Amino acid sequence: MFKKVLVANRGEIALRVIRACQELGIATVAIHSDVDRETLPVLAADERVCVGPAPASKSYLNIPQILSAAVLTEAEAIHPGYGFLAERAEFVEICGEHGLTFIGPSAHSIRLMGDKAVARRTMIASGVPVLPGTEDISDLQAARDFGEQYGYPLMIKAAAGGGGKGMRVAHDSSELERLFEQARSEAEAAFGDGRIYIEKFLARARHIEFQVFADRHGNVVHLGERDCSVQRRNQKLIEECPSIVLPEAKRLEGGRIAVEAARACNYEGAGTVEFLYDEKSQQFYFLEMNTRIQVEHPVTEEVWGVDLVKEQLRVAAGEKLSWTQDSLKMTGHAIECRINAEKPDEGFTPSVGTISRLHFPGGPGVRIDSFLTSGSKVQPFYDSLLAKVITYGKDRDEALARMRRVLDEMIIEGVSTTADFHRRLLDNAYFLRGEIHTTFVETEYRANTPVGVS
Amino acid sequence: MTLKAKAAPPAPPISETPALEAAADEVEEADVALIRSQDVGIFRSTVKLATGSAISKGQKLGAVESVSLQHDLISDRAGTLLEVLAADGDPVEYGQPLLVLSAGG
Repeated sequence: MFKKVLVANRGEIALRVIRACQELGIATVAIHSDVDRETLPVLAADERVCVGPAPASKSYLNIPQILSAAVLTEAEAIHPGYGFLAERAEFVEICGEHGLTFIGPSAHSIRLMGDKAVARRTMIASGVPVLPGTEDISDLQAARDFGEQYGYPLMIKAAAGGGGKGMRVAHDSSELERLFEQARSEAEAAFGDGRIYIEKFLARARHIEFQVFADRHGNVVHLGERDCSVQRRNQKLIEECPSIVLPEAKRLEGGRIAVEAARACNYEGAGTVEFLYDEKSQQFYFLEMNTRIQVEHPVTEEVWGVDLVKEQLRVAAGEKLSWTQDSLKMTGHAIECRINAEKPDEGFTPSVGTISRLHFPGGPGVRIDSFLTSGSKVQPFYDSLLAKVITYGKDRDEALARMRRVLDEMIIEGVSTTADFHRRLLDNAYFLRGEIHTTFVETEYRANTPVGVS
Repeated sequence: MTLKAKAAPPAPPISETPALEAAADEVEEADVALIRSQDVGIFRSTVKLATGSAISKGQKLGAVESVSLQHDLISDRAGTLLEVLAADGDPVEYGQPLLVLSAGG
């Protein structure tokens, strides 16, 4: 096992990784920007190195300074968390060149899955179902032809995509014409790569993703699914484990496909295979594979009784998976609400400020992953996630009842948050019946969506 | 290039950090300027500097050696050198004060 690990991230996930290291007796190095000096993960780590000014491009994405910090502190491995450098194949290679272990998959796996069009081809070749779609296309006519053949709506997607950027839904050919260039320039701006492709869009499908885990000894397992259908503009708001619509046979099928996907790219570590799931036809369609630990990993941990971050550390150190498929069993139900510093009534625009009063509830079945303390500054430079509130219960009703009482009791003052929005969602009749799909929030809460959003 | 870290961590202990920042703010207010590291690495006193000597804007004051590069530390102002805060071989972080100049010149 590693003696010292550098955590190349900030906020709640940096703290999550540091806590896992502490429990395994691994020393930790936190890197931080100059505005994050007083944050909890930086204070919790054994050592800390300021790597640059506030903008992420100059600090949390600054590869030379982060490497220098790792070498100076004699860290053996780097945990990238999610976001920032987590899915940068070149960073994995540079770590290797400097004798540092990247805690995650190989550069090859990241490249294969990072290019969404290549990932699609790889999955088709492995017999994994995908939605009807195109290869990379550059001209509008090819897009129109596809629309003629398969019908609308269509989803325009960025080949280099992620986080909902460069994604557009076109409901007819004139909208396709309008959005095609828009998506391409957005992809170019966001990823420096304007390649796009088109897929059939399932308007009422659920987002169901499978957690996979692989070691370098050829063992691959899945840890069931997470239902992340409650989204707003492709950003997940609520995640649940298990999905209430998935029969056991489909869980096994989805898990088997996800394991095949991981094998197809020689995967190592924690990964997530995302699917759209059409309830009517009970059919999975491959969306993408995320080659990192995900924000919503705690719901899987609660239901499967595992620690995915500790397992990442063990597997990266060369150990065998500590589970077999048969030893893994799920019990109960877990729900996660992502509480963001945003103003729901103003189109979910970011809110910044200083936390003036803070109370996180406890009690049975409650887990809150957050880096906030009273006096914490919520910075404009980074993403707006403040806290992940996770409740666990023997069934969905108990987990939901706990989530309601936790959100009612929780106090976060000093910035606007999405907590009340979540609280209202928890009483929504459709949500309670589980009649949800990826565009449910936009349809149900149209009044809160900025004008002009397609 | 191989960099070996010293036993001491590169950043000051938590408890000292706010005090250091406060001290830095104080001296800067008192017409004194701090030359800070722009990089994470090992401080190299490549230039012999005596306290009390005059420093010109653009003058090389040393270097910070990182994994693959040596970054020159350049004075962004003219002044008189009051104190060198880092010794040759010290691990330093971004923003760490390395030299103190009087702003008067």
